[in-house]
Amino acid sequence: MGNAAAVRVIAKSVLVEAVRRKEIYVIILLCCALIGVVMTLDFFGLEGLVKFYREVALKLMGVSTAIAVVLLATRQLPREFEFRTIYPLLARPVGRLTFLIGKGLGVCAAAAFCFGLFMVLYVAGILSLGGDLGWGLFVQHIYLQMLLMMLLTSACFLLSLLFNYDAALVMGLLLYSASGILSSTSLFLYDLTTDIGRLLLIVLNYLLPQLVLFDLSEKVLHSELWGPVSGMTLVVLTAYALGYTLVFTALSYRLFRRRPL
Amino acid sequence: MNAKTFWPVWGTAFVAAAFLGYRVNPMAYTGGRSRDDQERLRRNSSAIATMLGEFRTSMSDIMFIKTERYLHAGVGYVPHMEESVMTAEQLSEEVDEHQSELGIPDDDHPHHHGHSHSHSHGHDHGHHHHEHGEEHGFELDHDHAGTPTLIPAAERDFRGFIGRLHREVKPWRDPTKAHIHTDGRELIPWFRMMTLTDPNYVRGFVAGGFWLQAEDPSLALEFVNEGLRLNPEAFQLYVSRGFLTIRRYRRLNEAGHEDEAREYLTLAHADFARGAELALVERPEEINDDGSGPGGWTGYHEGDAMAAVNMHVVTTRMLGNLEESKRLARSYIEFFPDFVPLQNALNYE
Amino acid sequence: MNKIHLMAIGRGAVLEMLRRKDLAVLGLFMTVYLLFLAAARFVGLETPAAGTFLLNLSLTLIIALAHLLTLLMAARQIPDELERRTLYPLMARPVQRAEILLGKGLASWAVGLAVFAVLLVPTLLLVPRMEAYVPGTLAQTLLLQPVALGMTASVALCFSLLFPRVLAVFLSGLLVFAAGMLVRLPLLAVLSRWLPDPGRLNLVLRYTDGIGPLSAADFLSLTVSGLLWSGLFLAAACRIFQERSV
Repeated sequence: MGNAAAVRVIAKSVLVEAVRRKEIYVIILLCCALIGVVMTLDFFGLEGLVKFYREVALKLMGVSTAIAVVLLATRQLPREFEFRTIYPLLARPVGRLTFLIGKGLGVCAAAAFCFGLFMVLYVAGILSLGGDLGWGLFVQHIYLQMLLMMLLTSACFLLSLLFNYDAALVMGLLLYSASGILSSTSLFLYDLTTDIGRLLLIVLNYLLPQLVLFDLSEKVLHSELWGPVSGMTLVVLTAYALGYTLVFTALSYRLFRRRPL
Repeated sequence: MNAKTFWPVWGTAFVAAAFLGYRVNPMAYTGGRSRDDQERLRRNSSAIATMLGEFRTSMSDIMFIKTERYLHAGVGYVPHMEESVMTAEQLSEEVDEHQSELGIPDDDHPHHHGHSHSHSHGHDHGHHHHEHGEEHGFELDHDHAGTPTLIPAAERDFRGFIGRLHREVKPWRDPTKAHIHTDGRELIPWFRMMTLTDPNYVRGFVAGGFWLQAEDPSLALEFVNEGLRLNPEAFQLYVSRGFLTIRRYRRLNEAGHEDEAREYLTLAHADFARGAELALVERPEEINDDGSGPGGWTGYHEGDAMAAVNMHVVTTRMLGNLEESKRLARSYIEFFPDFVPLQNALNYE
Repeated sequence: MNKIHLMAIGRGAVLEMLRRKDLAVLGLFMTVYLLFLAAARFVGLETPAAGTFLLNLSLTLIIALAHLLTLLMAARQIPDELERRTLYPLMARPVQRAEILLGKGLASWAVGLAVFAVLLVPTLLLVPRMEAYVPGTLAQTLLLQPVALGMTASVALCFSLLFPRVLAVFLSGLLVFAAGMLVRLPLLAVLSRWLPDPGRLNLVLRYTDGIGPLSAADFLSLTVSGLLWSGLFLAAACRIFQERSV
C-alpha cells in the first residue's frame, strides 16, 4: 500500500470511528437543540431582527466544532496505545509520519463534516429569516475555520504526546478558549512592562498560534458594513496556519518516533 | 425499599426539593453594584477588563459589551470612565435625537448600506456632532474620534504582521476617524435577554423601553409594564413610563386630539407622582456632591429622582392645577434645594 | 450501608484519579489562575469597582472550576469502570451496588470540594476587597458550595448511567452551568420549578454586590433543597444501577 493510500485508509478509519461513536452526532444535535431553543425567542413580534440569532448560532457552531476537534484529536494517539491497536497497524509497512498525517486528516475530515453540516443549517436558517448572508465573508469564514481546525488538530496531537490524555484535553480547550484573552493581555501588558518583559511578550506572540485570527464571525455578523478580506490576507493566514501545523506535526513526529512501543 | 414504595417516596421528595428551591431566589433584590451602570462603566474601563478582552462572567456585562459592539458595527473601543451614565430623561432625549439621524461614511472602510441611529444605550458620550448624508445611511460621530480601539492602531501595536492581520479580520476602524453608529434596532434582542436573565435589572427595562419606543410605542409601554410587574417598587420605571406616556400626549395634542391627549397626560402625571413618591422613600438622607449616597444610591438614581419630582410638578401644572404645582415644588425643594426647575416652577403665573 | 466499604471505594476512586495524573490538570489550572491574579495585581486596580470585578471574577472562576472537575470525575466513574472491565472484580466482592455508587459519588464530591478549598485560599489572600461587602453573605456562599457540589456530583453520576458519556457530560453541564438561564427562555419556562439548579446556591454576585445575607429561613430552604436534590439523584442512580445488568 502506498503512502497516499495508507493515509486515506487511516483517515477514513478515524472518520468512521468518530461517526460510529455518535459523539459528533450528539454534539451536532445538542448544538442544534440549543439554537432551536434560542430561535423560539420572540422579540416583541418585530421582524428583521436577525443579528442576535446569527451571533448565537455562529458562536455555538464554532465552539461545538472546536470541542469535537479537541476531543477527537487528543484521544487518537493515547487510545491507540491504551488499547494496543497501534501495534498491528505499525507492523504493516506504514511509517509513523504516514500514520500521524492519516490521523490528522481524519480528524480534519470529521471537523469538516461537523462544521459543514452546521453551515448548511445556518444558511437555511438565515435564508428563512430573510437576512442577508454576506456570501463573500461567509465563505471566507468557513475557510478560515477549517484552517483553524487543522491547526488545532496538530496542536492537540502534540499535546497528547507531551501530556496524559486529560491534561492534553484540558490544555487543548484552554488553548482554544484563552487565545483571545492571551492576545488582549499581551497588548495591554506591553506598555507596562520592562524591556525583558516586552521581549518575552514578543517571543510569546510568535511562539503561540493566535487563533483569533481565524474567526471572521464578527465581520460576518455585521456584513452589511464590512466587505470580504483581501486575497493577500487569506494567503498570509493560510501560510500562517500551515506553518504552525507543519511545526507541530514535525514535533509530534519527533516525539512519536522516539516513543517506545 | 422496594420498587413499589421507592418511586412514590422519590416523587414526594422531588416535589419538596422543587418547592424549597424555587421559593428562594437569592438574586431577587433591587440595586447592587452589578446593576449599577456607573459601576459597570468603571469596571469595564479597568485594566483587568481590558486584559480580559470580551471575557466576562456576568451576563449583564456581556450584554453591555454586546450593545457597545453592535452600535459601533462590531468595532471595539476602549470604554472611558469620563462618560457619565444618563438618567431616564436624558436617555429618552438621546434616543429621540438619534432616531432622526442618518449619515454617510466619508471613508472607504464601510462599504455597504445600512441604517444607523444612536449611541445612547446607557451612558452619555455628550451631545454628539454627527455627520450624515443622503446615500448610504450611516451615522458618523466625530466627537469620539480619538477614542482608542481595543485592537490598537499600527503605530501602537508591537505585534507586527500579526497585528495587521488582526485589524484585517476583525471589525476595526482607525481610531482617529469618526465612529460609525449602526442601527440600534438590533439592540432590542439584547435588552430582552438582559431582562430575561435578570428580571430585577431595572435599567434594562428603562433603556430597552426607550429603544422600543422608536419601533412601536405600545410595545415600549408593554415592556416597561412588564418591568413594573416584576419590580413594583422601582421608581425609575414609573419615570420611564411617564416619559413614554407624555410623548403620546404630545403627539395627540399636536394632531389636535385634545381630549384623548389629556387622558394620557393624566396617566403620565400619575406615574410621575408615584415615581416621585417612591424615589423620596428610597433616597438616603445624606447625598454626596456627585449625587450618590449610601445604600447603592448613585448619581443616576439622583437624576431620575429629580426628573420624577420635576415632571410631577410640570404635569400638575399642565393639568391646570397651578397652585398645587407650586405647593409640590415647595415641598420638593426641601429635598433638592439647588434644583433650578423647581425654583422656576414657583414663579409661574 | 457499610462505612468501610464506602471509604474503600471512595479512596480507590481518588487513587485512580491520582494515577491518571489528574492533579497535573489541577496544577495547570492553578498556575494559569495564579498567573492571572499576579497579572491583575501587576497592572493594578484603579478603582474600587475594578477590585470588586476581580473578586467576583475570581470567586466565579474557582466555583466553576470546582464544579467542572466534580462533574467530569463523577460522569466517568461508572462508564470507565465498565469500559476497562474493572467493575466486575469489585462487584464479585460482598459490596452492594449502592455502596459502589455512593463511594464514587462521595469521592467526586470530595475532590471538587478540595479543589474549591485549594483555590479559595489564594483568592482570599491575593484579591483585595476594595468596597464594602457583608461577611455574612460570604459565609453563606462558602457554606452553600459543598451542597451545590453534592448536587453536581449526583446529577453527573445519575446521567452517566442513563446516557452515553458525551451526552451525560453535556446535559449535566447544561444543568450545572446554565439551568438558571435556560429556564428563563419562554419555551423552557415551564421547567423553572422542576429543574435542579446548583447555580441558585451560588451567592457570589450577591456578595460582591454588597447585599446582606439571606434570611435564616431562606438559607435553610436552599440548603435543604440542595441536599434533597442530591439525595434524589443519588437514589435514582442507585435504583438504575441496581436494575441494570452489567
